[in-house]
Amino acid sequence: MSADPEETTSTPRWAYAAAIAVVVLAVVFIVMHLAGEGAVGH
Amino acid sequence: MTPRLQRRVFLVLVLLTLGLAAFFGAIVAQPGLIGGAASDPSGGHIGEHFRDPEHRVHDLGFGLLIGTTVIGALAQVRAPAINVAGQLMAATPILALMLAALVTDRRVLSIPWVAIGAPTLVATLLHPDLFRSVGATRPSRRMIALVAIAAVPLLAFAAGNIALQRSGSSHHADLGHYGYMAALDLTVIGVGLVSSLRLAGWRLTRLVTGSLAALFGIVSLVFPDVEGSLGTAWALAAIAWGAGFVTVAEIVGREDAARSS
Repeated sequence: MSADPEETTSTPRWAYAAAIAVVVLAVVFIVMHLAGEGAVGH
Repeated sequence: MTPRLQRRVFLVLVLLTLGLAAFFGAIVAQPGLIGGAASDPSGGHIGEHFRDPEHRVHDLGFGLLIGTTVIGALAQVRAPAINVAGQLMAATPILALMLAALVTDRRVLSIPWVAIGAPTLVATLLHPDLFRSVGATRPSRRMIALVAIAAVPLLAFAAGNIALQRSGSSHHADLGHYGYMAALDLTVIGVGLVSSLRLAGWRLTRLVTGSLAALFGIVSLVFPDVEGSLGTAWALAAIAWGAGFVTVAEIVGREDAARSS
C-alpha cells in the first residue's frame, strides 16, 4: 500500500541530517566567538 | 516528520531568520543599544557601519547580501509553495559567504551572517516543496548565457577580493570585508543561476538578480574612490547587465505565459 502524500514529506533523510549539522556548527561557532575564540574583526 | 509539522517548523525558521535580521539591523542603526549593554556607549566597531566613508561600499555590499536573504525569506511567509526559487535565493548569499570564508580565513566569519545564515540554510533544507520541485526545473538557455557572460568579470573580481583577503593585513581584511565582496560577486552569479532554473516564484529572483547587479553598479558610481568600488566602466556594465537580465527574463516569462494560456 503506497503512503498517503498528505502524510509523507518529500524531504530526504540526508536533508534532516544536514540541517542538524548546520545548527550544531552555528552554535559551536557562536559559543566560541562569544568566548573570545572566534573571528578577529567582528 | 509529517508535512504539517514540517510546514510549521519551516515557518518558525523563516520568522527566526527575519527576526535576527531585524535585530542586527536595529543594532547597526542604534549601536549604542548593544554598546550600552557592553559598557561601551559608542558601540565600538559596530558604530562604524554605514558611518565610516572608508567602508561604505563594503557595508552596502554586505547589506545587499543580507537583503537578498531577507527578501527570499519574506516571500516564504506568504506562500512557500509558490516561492521555492525565493528560498534558494535566500540561501545563496549564505553559501557564498561560507565559500568565501573557506577559501580565505576566519576573519570573514561574523556572528550576524552566521546567526541569520543558520536558520536560512535549515529552512532551505526543510522547505516543504523544495525537493518536490527539483524535477520541475526548466533551465532557460538565454538566461544561463547571460549569467555566463557576467560570470567572467565577476569571478575575476571575486578572485581579486579573495587574494586581498588572504594576503591582506589592512583594516578591511581584518574585518573580513574582501571576503564579503567576493561573496557578493558569487551571489550575483548564484542568484542568476537560481533564476535561470525557472522554479516556482522565479519572477522575484530574476528581479533581485538584475537589481543586485544594478545596485552594485550604482553604489560603485556614487562612491567611485572608495575601496570595493567596481570603477566607472564596470559599474556602468553592471547596471546595463542588470537591466538586460531583467528584460530577457521578462521576455522568457511572457513566452512561458503565452505558451500556457
